[in-house]
Amino acid sequence: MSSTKPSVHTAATTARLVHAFASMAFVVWAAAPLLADDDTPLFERLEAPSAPEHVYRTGASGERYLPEIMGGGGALLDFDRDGDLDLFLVQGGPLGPRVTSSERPADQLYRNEMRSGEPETLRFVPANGSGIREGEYGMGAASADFDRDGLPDLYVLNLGPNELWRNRGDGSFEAVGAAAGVDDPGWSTAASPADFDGDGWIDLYVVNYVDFQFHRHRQCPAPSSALDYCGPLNFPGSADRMFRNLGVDSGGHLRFEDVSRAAGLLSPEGRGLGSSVADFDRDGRLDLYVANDQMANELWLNLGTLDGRTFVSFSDEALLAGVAVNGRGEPEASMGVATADFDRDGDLDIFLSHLSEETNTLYVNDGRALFLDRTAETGLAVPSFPFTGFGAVWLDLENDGWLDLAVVNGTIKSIDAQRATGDPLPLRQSNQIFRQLPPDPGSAAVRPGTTPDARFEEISHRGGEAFTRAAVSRGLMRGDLDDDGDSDLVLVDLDEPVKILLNTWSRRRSGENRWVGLRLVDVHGGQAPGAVVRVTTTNGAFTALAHTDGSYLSAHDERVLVGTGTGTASAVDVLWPSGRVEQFVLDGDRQYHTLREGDGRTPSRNER
Amino acid sequence: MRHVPVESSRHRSAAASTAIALVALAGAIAGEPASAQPSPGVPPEETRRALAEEFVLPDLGALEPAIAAAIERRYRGLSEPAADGGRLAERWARLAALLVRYGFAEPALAAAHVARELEPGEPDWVYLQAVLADQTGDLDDAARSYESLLADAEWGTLARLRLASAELERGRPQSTLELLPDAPAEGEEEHAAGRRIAARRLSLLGRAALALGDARGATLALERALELAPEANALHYPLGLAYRQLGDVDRARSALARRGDRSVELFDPLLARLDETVVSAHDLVQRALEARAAGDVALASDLYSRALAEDPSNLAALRGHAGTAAALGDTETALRSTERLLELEPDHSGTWFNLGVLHLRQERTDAAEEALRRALELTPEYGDARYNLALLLRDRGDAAGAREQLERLLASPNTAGRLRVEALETSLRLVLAAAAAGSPSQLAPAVADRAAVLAQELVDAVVVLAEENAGAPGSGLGEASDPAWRAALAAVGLLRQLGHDQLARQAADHLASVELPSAVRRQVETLRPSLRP
Repeated sequence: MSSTKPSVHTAATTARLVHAFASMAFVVWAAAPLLADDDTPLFERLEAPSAPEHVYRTGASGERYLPEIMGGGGALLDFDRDGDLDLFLVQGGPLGPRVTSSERPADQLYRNEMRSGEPETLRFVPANGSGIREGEYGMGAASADFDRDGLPDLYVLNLGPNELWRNRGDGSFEAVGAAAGVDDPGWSTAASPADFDGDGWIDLYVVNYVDFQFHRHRQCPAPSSALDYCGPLNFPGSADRMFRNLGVDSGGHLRFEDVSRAAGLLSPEGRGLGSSVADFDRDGRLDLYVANDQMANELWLNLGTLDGRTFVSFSDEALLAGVAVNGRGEPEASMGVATADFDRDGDLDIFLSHLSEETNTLYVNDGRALFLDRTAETGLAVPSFPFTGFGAVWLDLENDGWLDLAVVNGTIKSIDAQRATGDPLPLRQSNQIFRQLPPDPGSAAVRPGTTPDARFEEISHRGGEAFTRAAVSRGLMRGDLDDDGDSDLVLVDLDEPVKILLNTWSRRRSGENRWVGLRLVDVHGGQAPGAVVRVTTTNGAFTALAHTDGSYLSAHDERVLVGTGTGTASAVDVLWPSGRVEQFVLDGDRQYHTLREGDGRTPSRNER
Repeated sequence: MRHVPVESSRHRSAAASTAIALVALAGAIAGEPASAQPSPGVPPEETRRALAEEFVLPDLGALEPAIAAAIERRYRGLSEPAADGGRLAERWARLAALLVRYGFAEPALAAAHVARELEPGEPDWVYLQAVLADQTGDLDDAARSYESLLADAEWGTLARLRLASAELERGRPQSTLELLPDAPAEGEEEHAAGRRIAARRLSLLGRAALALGDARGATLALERALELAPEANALHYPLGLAYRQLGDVDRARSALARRGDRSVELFDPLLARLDETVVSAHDLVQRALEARAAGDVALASDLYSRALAEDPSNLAALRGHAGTAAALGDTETALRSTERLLELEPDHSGTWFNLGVLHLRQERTDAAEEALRRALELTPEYGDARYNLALLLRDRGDAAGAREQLERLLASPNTAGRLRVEALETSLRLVLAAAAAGSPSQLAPAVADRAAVLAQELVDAVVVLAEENAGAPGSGLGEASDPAWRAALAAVGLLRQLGHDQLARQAADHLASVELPSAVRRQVETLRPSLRP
């Protein structure tokens, strides 16, 4: 197997297995029915009182502090383990050198009170007993089971010290950030939880943006208008952090250790806004992709444990991999990041949202973590040119087996026409949906890594009001909120009520395409971020990544939802973060399955 | 075509609708349907005025006043009859060229639309509109206009290149290949403009080949493009990716490491004609930079002066003019240019620093202090500014003020290299001067302790400086006459005079641990035996 990293990892056997696993013959998907051209919007908004009455407050005061326009997000997590997704939303609030935390509105956890099998009863109510009290200016959140008790914990990203809220299991949380050593004081914007070193404990990579200080604040002139927000290059960068999970000590305390330097991960100039953990080079080790604003992005390839060290080391290979800059060699203002095998060739590709006049960027993996910028060829360049994208997710709108894209927008430089109307936040743009067109029937086999047929069309006009009315959108979470087998969205707009957007596919076309949902539980009973599943169906295989990170300031549904078109799923191969490969036989599709590491069958060498 | 770029039409509408409204208005006033071709002659005054009044000039408030005035002048001129009987369409096109230069792409496109509608048969305005649509991201509109010019004798070549580029950006690399010939036109590479066209063509062919999976073809085209335009360092990136695709990782890494942001610049005669001032000033600045690099400061200064005569607000020309005047000893001229620069960019700490230095040259210490403090206000970590402020205060007799500045400077982790050495030496001298003692051994204990600490730090800083410059050509540290060596030796000597033989010995040993000029090493070796181990 060709790889860009030194072959120092000792688990050569694992690497070979992974290669065999990922290079299964690619099967061209039979053409799925096209999206129905009816009048039903793709998404319908869950209205109050079922929807949370939560407004992310920017606190914009006219001072044009950069953080005002960079929040906010949240996390989807099943904190009470009742089977449905709950919702955590951060808050901003007043911002200024003399503002105290008590003046700010609080972050809020909402409990999903849907009755099982009755999606029409979906309702979010404040989980008032959670004990979560956040006074910092909130940006986003991450979620993972850090203490291996089977319950998702919550990591809140702030402008200021972050907080880790440990799920007690009784509906309440305990703040342990400082005691655990993960209260990063910087301006954090993203986090990727994953077991990078394979010790069974989920580590935490935290992305920091810039060193924002009120005493250094100033406004910057725009070429066509008066003073405006300053861009990130006007501030010093802020280093990201890798926290190694040391586990729970004898006193029951969760401990982490900052191993950023030892792992080779310190890049002080990084102005990060997004991150994604995945095994991009398919060597069985979890890598990290970091999206930086207006500078080169980073692809930290996991080199394994070197020289008897206690933690793995990383090397940034983004430039050679072709994902540091766009195809013209230009660094871009990377905001949201979304990772998936959109072209169904068995490896993971990367989509980034960017500033207007840059276009968003789609990097297509050839299976060796060598990527090519295919934005223009896939039809994603021109439509994104006028927009500044933030939240971005892959989702299969109609479960036809071809992943689509949702990108939410809102510029960072005032739009004169909006300012002229007295709009206090003149940054509004509409959001976008791009549908991936299935390959033409009878076309030649798709060549892995080249995707000559991959093509997207913009269908934003069909997305419903959230995609046609201009707003300043930022966080975007994906998850099956009503457990009906399609991907719903949670959208955070600045100074507007949060939008719960329910996918209408299950109502519109539930008789056609099929799907399978997977919840992965590792051998310790925890989550398995970074695991890769390959779903075998009667119409070919589908590769998907288990993850909660990505997009912008957001954490997604931990479950993997795979649309399989007209194919019926029969089995799932799972490559666990531990390196183990297991096969599970499914007893049906159009339902969620829980797959536990160790319960599957280890495929024979020939089967791999 | 399966893909319909919804947003591009949405994006186009603002500029296009303005132009359509304007033309409709023009036709109505002239008593003609809007689609009729207006006369290319001088339109009636009311038509001119109505067109201008309908056009929405963008908010120019943030622009430098001289530039805003120039745009407004050009805009107001649209309502006036041209003194030279010139074409109204040409004047609209000139407004478009000026607007786009200062970032107003949409209004520029609207102005170009007016020019095109005023003279629909004129290829110049088709080309101008295409280029501006290209810049605003409306590639469909741009491509349509370029296509209509492919057979045009004047614009055919440039339109073909630009269309090929737009096709690449639209995700149609095969179309790019089909538009461009593989071989150069006869004699194309024999003159500079032709070589640039050839380089641009090859760069597009290379990128298209890469997009289509022909890595070998991509390397051939891009290597040749770089031969023709070696300054176009943006080509190293696709070249690196092409080598990577071929499996040649070493060449790939080498090319990727050389990537930059300069692409193959095309000389565009239309935009040049529409804004001769801008192009002329730009070219003069480029020539001045070359002269300066070649060491001809007087020629560079002259070229900068000429550029400023063309474009008084050209920042690069002003900056260069100030620098060359200072280098030639013409401080007054340098001051004038620097002050003008500060009118245009009042928050540029480097320019405030330069102003402070120029005032210091003229011994205007109050003005110098004000300028340096302003630089530090904008950039507190500006080490050179803080050091100069310390020297200024010292020379004025404000030793406490100087010490405070030096302490702040030395406390910063960014104060490194030679600046650190100089700051430590100056601090040391200030400490000793303040004590006003006959000999170091008579210093008060606190002063002696402070001097000893500074002396050790000074030796350390010189050692670090020497290590960092080891082998660096022209570093100057190889010479025994370098002030850093003298300062380090003096510091070792001071430690001995203060009675700290052991510290002096350690400092001497530390100094001896780096590569020393022979004369310095002899002095160190002479010192060491006299020091107690």
